[in-house]
Amino acid sequence: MTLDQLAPPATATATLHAEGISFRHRRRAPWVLREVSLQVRNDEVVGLRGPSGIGKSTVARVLAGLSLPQRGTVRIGGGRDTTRRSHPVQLVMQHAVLAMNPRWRIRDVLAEPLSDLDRASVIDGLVEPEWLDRYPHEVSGGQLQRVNLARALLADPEFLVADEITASLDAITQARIWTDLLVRTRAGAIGVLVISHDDALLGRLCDRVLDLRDLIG
Amino acid sequence: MSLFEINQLSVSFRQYDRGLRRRTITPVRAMDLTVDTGELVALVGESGAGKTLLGEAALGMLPANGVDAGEIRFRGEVLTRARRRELAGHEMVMLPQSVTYLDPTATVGAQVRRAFRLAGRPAGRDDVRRALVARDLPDDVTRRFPHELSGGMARRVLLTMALAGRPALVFADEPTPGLDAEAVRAIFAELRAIADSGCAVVAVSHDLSEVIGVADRVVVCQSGRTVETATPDDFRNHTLTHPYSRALWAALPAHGFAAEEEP
Repeated sequence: MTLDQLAPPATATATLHAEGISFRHRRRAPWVLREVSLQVRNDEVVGLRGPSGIGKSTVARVLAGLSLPQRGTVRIGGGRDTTRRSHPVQLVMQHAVLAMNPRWRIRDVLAEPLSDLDRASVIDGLVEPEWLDRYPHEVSGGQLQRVNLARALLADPEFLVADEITASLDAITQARIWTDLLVRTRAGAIGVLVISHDDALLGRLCDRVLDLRDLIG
Repeated sequence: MSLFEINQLSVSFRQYDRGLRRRTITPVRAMDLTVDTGELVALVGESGAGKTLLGEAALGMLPANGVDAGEIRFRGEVLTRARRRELAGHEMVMLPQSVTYLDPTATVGAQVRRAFRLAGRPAGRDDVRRALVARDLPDDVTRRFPHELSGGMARRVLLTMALAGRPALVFADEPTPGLDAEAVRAIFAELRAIADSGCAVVAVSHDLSEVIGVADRVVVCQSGRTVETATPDDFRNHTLTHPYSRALWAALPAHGFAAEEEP
């Protein structure tokens, strides 16, 4: 299957709103983000571009709740239940190896969001069974990024923020991972924000592309 | 004779499974690479094919359970593992892949001053600030901690540290992921200038379309083997000989984004 053959997306049932978010690392430090606003619907794949250091990764962290903005809000309009266990916006970053406990086997890494892996059909074809008993450093970078994505999908998110997830991977692995991921997010009505410096990649993947420089309030 | 030659390098790891059952994995099977002073050689190919291990073996930086075989020569001398450790950090340096090689608890200024001191360069506050500003970093960068740097800034800090000792061979492991197109071009232009100033540079990269703009030769590897040494023109003119090299080119988003290798 190629990306062009994916089924047309469902109608949106939820929208992720960032409204006027401003962030800095400490008081009196320079602002990293100033009044940034954006929306992503759960039936679309949106690209986010902009030069190094403009704050793209900070936007990702704020959307996923890992950094709290000093001003502004992040909310989901529509959406499913409010009693969920994991954050509805899951963040996947470039360096998968840094996102995992090096002393846990892949099986344990994946069991963190969902202990009953047998129910997890979402990871079929994304993670190979023979990786499960290995440690993170015993699989390749491409394989580990697949595990990283599988973990995020197991958390049953409504939105996925992918921050340069294939920047460290070869072109063939990159094309395969994105195809396998977007099949699942389209099927599961998961909105995707793709952060990348590669305009050609954004052009392949995204329904629309935002430039962070245009989003500052 | 080239400045630096790798012939039929292999790297294996001995691991203990459950209990005392031992297994050996060999991620690098047969890799060849040659680079001379003034040259920039790109090393491209499959993630996990052993590109980083090649650099670590060359600089004697393999983990303790790693064993390498084959021949590594520098200025004609076959390097023992001990000799590689002596040269590493002085004559041969690694520009590391991950920006996490910076110490998260120390300021940029302190870390670069230490690198300058180890390299025997004047390491005053002003020497360090001037060197950083010369790489387009802001004036206050010396007071910042690594988490306050963007990816591009962190790369330039690492570059400043790696080049402190004026090495003869620079092994740049993925110098550009996460950088915007302009910053990528700037880093590659910088590596080209470093080569032109009398260094041998090996650049591991997945940014194939950019790196062929500056490389003299491109070594393609797959599954622990170097499968082809090509010129940048071989990519542009479709005169690559190995199917994997052709598939890699076809999978670039700007080309076909083809997820399958040729049969």
